Amino acid sequence: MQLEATLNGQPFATEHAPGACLLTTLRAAGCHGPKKGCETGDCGCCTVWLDGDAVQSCLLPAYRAQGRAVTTVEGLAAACATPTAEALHPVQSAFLREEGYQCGYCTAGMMMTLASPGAAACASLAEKLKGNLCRCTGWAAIKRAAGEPDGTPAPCARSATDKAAGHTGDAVPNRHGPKIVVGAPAYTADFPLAGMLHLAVVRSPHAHARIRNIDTTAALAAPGVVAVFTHHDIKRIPYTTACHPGHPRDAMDTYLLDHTARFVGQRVAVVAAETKILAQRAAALVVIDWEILPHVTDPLAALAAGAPLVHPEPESQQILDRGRNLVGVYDRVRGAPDQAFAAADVVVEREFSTGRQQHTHLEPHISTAWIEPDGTLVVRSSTQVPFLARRTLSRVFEIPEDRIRVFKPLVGGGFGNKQEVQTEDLAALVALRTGRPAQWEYSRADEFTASSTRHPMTIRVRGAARADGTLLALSLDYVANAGAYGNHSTDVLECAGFESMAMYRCDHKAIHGRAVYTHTVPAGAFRGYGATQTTFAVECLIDDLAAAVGLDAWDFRRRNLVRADDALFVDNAPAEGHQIGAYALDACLDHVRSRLAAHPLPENTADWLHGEGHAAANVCNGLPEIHRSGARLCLTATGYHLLVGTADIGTGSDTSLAQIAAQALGARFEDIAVSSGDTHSGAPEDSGAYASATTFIAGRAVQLAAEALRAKVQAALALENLATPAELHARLAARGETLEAALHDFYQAKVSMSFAVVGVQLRVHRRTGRVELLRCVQALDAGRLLNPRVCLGQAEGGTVMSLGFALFEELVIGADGAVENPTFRDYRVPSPGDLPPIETRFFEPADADGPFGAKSIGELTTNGAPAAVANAVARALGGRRVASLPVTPERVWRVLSA
Amino acid sequence: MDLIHIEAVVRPSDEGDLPAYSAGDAYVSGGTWLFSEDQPAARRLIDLSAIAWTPIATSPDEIVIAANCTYRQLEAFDWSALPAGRIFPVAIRSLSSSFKTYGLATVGGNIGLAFAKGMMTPVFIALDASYELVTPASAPGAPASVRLVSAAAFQTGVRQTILGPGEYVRAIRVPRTAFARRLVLRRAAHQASSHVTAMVIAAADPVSGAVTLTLSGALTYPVKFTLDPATPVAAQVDAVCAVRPLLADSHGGEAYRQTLLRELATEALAALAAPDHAA
Repeated sequence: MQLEATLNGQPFATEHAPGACLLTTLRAAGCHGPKKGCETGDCGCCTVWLDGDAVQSCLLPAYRAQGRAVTTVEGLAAACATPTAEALHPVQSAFLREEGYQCGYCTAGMMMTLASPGAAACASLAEKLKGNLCRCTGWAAIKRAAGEPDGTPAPCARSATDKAAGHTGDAVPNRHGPKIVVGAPAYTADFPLAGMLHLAVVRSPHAHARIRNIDTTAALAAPGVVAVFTHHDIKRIPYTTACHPGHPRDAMDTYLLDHTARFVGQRVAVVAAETKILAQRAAALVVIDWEILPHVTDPLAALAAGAPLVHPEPESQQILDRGRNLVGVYDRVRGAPDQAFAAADVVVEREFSTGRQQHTHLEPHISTAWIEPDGTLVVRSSTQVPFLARRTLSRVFEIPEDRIRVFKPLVGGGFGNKQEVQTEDLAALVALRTGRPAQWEYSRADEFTASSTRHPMTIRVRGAARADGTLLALSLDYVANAGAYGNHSTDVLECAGFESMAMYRCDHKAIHGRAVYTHTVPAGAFRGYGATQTTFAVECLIDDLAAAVGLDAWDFRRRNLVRADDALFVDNAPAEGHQIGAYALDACLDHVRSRLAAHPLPENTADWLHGEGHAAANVCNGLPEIHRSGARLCLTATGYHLLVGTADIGTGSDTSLAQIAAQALGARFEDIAVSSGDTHSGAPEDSGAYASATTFIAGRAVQLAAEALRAKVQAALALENLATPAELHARLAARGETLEAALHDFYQAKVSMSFAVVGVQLRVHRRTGRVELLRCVQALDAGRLLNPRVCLGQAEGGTVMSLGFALFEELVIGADGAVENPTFRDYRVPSPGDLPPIETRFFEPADADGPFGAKSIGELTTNGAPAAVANAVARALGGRRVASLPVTPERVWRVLSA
Repeated sequence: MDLIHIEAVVRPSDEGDLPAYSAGDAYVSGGTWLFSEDQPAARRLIDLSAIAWTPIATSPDEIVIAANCTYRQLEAFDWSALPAGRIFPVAIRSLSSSFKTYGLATVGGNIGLAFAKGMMTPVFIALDASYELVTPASAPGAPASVRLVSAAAFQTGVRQTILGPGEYVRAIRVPRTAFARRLVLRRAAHQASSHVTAMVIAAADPVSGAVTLTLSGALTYPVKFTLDPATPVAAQVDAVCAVRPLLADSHGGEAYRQTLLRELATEALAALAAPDHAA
């Protein structure tokens, strides 16, 4: 069909399919400001104006725009009668000033919503933003940008006009902000290629089934189809979607296209066609004769003798015990826990379970692959791990790594889910086989049903204490549901066991963790990496243990948490690669305690019960030894060029790493250009952005490389008798010389720990179990802050993501193995109306090994909030516990009615 | 999202130009639900949004709301002379959908979808409304068939109605007398922005003094009953739940939803009894 309309004041004409929505029609015509986040009208990333008011363009039939005026973020400033000094709409200026974004993917839609006349008619900010989602900021920054801040004390300067040199400690604005607020092309989907094919995959409707026969005849004959591939067309090479450096232990149990489906939603064939609609239509024509096999969705049932086996095939590798569906284990013993439990004055035992949380980064997984004239395979991808993705592609396609380039533009959030190869492989397959560029973009339904999740866990914890409050023994026995593929499970087990159990000083510890295959959507890496679940269990147990010995939980933690000079133990030898580093955990505890005490809980009423709870948490600053990073710094005509392999996934690391370089070089922030996340930029190889490694490992590499270059520059200035680096560059350039310093293969032999304490106050409705958060206070020890605003964003965003895990979020798997709630309507992430004011305080001890004293922060606040909420609910319920996350009103009501 | 199987669209401005309905046809009103899900069976869209019905027409006997009246039109109408109409903005703002759908989504669309979480049918049941249903002519020149059914009889289950193949809702007819009622809406949802898990509308008739409760959200489809002042409200809610199937999904199980209905019914009645009640 033909569409003729006005777009941002200009005549606009384009063709579209009869059933196309306005969003895809605009994007296909090159208007990339509106983003595709859910396609169901829930996330608001696609918001545009139709005849001057906001609509979700994914819900609007394209033909309805006929003859009407469409305004997108690209036209927002021009549509404004009173633009600001920056020639922006006031809402754009406010988002820029307050940094109402992290990854920026939701920002265009957020601004188009808030600036619209319809929003002005809404009674509250929560009502304005009912059709918008942000997964990074925790909403606090958006509330500030919308002019409705929480009113909690500002924890740091947030001035965007800070004219300091932009060294560490300054709240330098995110360097991508100006691009984000005008909706400039920035993300993978914003760069289509001429002649690009689009992929659609055929997914299994069965939890466990083998393909007897697969008929692609009709699909191949369908209009616009260029190729169809099945397991018959590929070499069967086992690999893992998980990306780890070194020699990973991850189970190698995944195939590009498999003859067996092991969960509902597994891809089994791929169609490449001229348009996405044609590819999707053809995918529905692939006919599969399935041999349906018995399946198991519960991990404990999967461990039992006679259970259906998920990976019996002998060609898969690094599976601990495929005959028992066991992916891996993590077992540690310190001292003699059995004797300690037997002899203790007080023993408390609890069992908890946690729900299946999904990352819901608003930019879906997406990759575009093509072949350069010299034969290089190039993949532009929304990835956290360009170098490791390249290694996986090299393995799968048997192409040398130096013939593959993987790079990322801006990434619209990752949270661990993009520490995997999920779309790169099939996009590359199609590009390699057809010679044409190929793009594969997940839908939101794909994200909910076929990408990764947090590992659901069943956790049994025991603690023993002396009557005087001394912790004697802890034991942790946990079973993680790995889903259908091993993925990150083996390392998740270790992080889950180590971080939760190393936090407490006691002489007897027992850890027994198992990851178990089931025929369900795979679990993978998710902010917190297993420790979120186990820390929840341990921190709940600690509260109950304190109560059992008659001590206040604050005092009990103060007494038994690790201290500044402690080594970290999970077995009889102190942890080799981990150290406390800088330490302010005690100050964090005291601060949160006093801030909560300053706001005494209201008395209970006929309707409401009140409770207060807290928890302590930590995160290791990356992986010791195996996480590799580096940095290259070059003297340029305008300053310096910093090249790093790590990837800014919306966290602000391109900004904070440049601050490190500026300080180490004695330069100004503005003088530092940054390239990141590209295997072919000349940056040293880097393991990527995960495990809270960026600040502590990549940041340190940047500091060392910058210091090396500074020394070289100073030596050269002296030698050449010049005054400034610019003069030096000019002289060297005239001679055809360059000056640079590079640090390759950098690692930290010992990684430090960051600490956080979080407290919440809430109320529970006596008859319905509804939980309302009243207040949240957190204190963080992440060393010296590189950029207070970036750190605040990470602190607020991580906490809110975990409040969602604590109260709302759970993918429900039915008996047939299918996800029952694969939409944002039924899988509920926190919205502004659900959240209390969040008050954040940083303590800043300088860490000797971190860059300019900094420690990592990205995953720090993810681990504490669930237990703080659960402990507060337990207090409100008079000590009775809701043993499962999320703490839904219905679960609370069951406890209340028991 | 793109509806990938759609091959044609018809969008008449005159109801008489609506085509005969055949297999593969799908009516689209606002489109805010239809375009939010894959529609594998649909090949042609019959778009009702441009038909030039009067959005809201008043007469001495009744108020007639066109099926393609948008939420924005319904909300913007001056209800001051028809006090019960103040329930409409409350119901609209109780939807999980954004204000951004208000100019698109329609009253008839919400009715026809017949979700348990639907807002419009419970309101219209509380107002004793009737729906005017039309089946287009099967051949050019032949008459369309029209029937009137009570709002209470329209929905028969989750996503189930009495609509026959090709039949659509043309209008909602509400007796003017119903607008003299005092209404209170109370809802429960898992989250501030999520759709209802349970909902109760209490209505007091100024003439007869009778109070009715319309329960929805927690039930597979809504039900209304007249309150018996001599029996505890919770017992009356329980009696309804014993005969009308409760809903169970990821938002809540049956027993819990029944509890919510009891609680909301109690709250709504208390609010109704308060001197300065707000809807």
